[in-house]
Amino acid sequence: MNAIGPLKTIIDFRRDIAPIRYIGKSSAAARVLNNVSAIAGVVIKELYRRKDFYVLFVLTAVITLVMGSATFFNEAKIVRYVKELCLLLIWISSLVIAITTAARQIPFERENRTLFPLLAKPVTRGEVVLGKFWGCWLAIGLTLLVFYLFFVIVGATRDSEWSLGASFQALTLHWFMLGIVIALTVLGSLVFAAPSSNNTITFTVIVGILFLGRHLNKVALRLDEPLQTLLYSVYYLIPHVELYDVRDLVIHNWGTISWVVWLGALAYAAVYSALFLFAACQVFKRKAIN
Amino acid sequence: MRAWRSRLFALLIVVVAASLATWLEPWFQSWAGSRTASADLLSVALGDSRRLFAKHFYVKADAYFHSGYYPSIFDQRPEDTKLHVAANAGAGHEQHDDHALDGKPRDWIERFGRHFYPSVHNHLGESKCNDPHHLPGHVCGPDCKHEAEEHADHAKGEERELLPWLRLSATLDPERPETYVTAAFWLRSKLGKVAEAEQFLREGLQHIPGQPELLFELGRIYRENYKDNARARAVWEAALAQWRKTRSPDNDDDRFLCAQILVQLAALEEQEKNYPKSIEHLRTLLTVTPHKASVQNWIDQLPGGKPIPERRAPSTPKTLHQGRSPWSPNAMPEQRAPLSPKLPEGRAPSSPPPPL
Repeated sequence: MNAIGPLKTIIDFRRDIAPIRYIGKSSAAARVLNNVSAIAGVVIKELYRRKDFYVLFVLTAVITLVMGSATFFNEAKIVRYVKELCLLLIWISSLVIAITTAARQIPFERENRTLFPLLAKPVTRGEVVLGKFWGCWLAIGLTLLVFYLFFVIVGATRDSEWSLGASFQALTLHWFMLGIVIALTVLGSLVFAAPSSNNTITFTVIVGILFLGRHLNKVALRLDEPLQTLLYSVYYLIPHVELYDVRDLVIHNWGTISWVVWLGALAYAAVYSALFLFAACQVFKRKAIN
Repeated sequence: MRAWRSRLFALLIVVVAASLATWLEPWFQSWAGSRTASADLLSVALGDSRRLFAKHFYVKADAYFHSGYYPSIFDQRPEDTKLHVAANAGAGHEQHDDHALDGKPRDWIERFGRHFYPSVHNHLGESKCNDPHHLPGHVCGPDCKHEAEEHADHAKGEERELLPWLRLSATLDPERPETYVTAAFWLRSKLGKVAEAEQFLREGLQHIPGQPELLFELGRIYRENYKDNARARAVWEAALAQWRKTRSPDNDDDRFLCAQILVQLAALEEQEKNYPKSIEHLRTLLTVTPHKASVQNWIDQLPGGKPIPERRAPSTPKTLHQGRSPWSPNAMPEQRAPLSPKLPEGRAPSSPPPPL
């Protein structure tokens, strides 16, 4: 019984899903990985079949190029406003794609009734959550890669003082930040009734943290007790996604961040993503599917 | 019968609507708040809110001047007339502490977070050193071991990055003189685009005719860039005349502007060896500057300039427009009483705006 032959199973109705292979009890981790990557594969395919990414990318490119073609006072070398605009559009587009993609995954499986046969296979609920997260995260990673490639090309053609290291750090930090966002959205998709409400609430929370997260401590210190402690606790509890917004450093050519700090930021994002995913798994385990 | 009644009622409503339209249309056309009179799309779309956006973009230019290092609304922010981008251009007063972020970080998140945004005070054109052994945001200074020229090459002409925001600000609010002055200063002084600077100032003068700030800056272009002293004199005298008409000497900014105009006029006349005129401008300057000793010293050094004995003013007028205006060309020397003006600390009006 140690070596059970390869068991070919389909975890989705679509025929293009990779078969799940697992070999015995000793390779449970491999089985989980296979299941997760099979579910993730579907999510990635869904992203490139949908038009969201193409529309947002073309919009970003067109706006950036049109604004970049403008000249001010016959000065051809002005570049920072183009970089700022391009990065702003990339941030908006990536947030929209990440949240909308992650928010619809599990609710749509339920609506289409594909969740029942999926869970009837040797796939646990936790693996479904992880697979959905992993798929969304990889898909948004590919999206970011295309966006940042465009950004680097636009910047490099106009700016002589270009730092590839800073762009790489910006891309990776952005990607890990979206990991937190996706994990939070997946959790939201199990808590809120509809994807639309989940989209709105998650978007509001993330944008709120992006704008205010850095300053909550300053506001807290101006308040009286017990509001001060309460707000300071919120400040410590929330995921500080604003840390990953290094646009100003890239735009104004401040150079690279210390690589140790960069690694620390990635670890911080990984911890929060794991926390939200754990919560999502727990909620999904207790949730009645029908 | 009921159908006829409904039709008649509908007809009545149409007639009432048409009558109202004929009454409202002429009123709307003559209404002061109507935006239809404006041919400018931005004015129609944004109304007066465009001024708000214009201010935002002007502040954005200042943020760019600091390479992204800028206090948020939760920190202490400078007044818009005291922005460094304007102060360096001579369009406002400089106060260097106003951009300081709040001292030490309050907690580990803030300490960690400061690595991810510009947290070092820096001005555009000052070179940043991006060598790996420096922390992010290190600004090249006397302690930096690198070649200064290497840094200077990188930083040269960075001021051009301000221009899109200033252009946008001027488009949204064409009646904001600081925008024109600031843009013109950077264009002519750092980017060598004198013709563009002059054109932008003239554009500003079309929107706000006779604005002393714009005339003063235009005069500087004529004198410093075109070496055309005659036109510079004409423009500065026009600026001074406009100042007398429209400004109050009670205001620090206005007095500072007046002092700038007078200093430039005095220097120009001195260069032209028209000493009596130069002395006349300097004596007027004495009434607005707190640095009376240095101005008096300047007068004394000019041929024909004699120390003026201390004169007791019969009474110190509160404003310059109370009858005995010393700005009036017909005012008697006795009437040119010191006005105990007070310029902001640390600002010497006799010196031109400091370059970066």
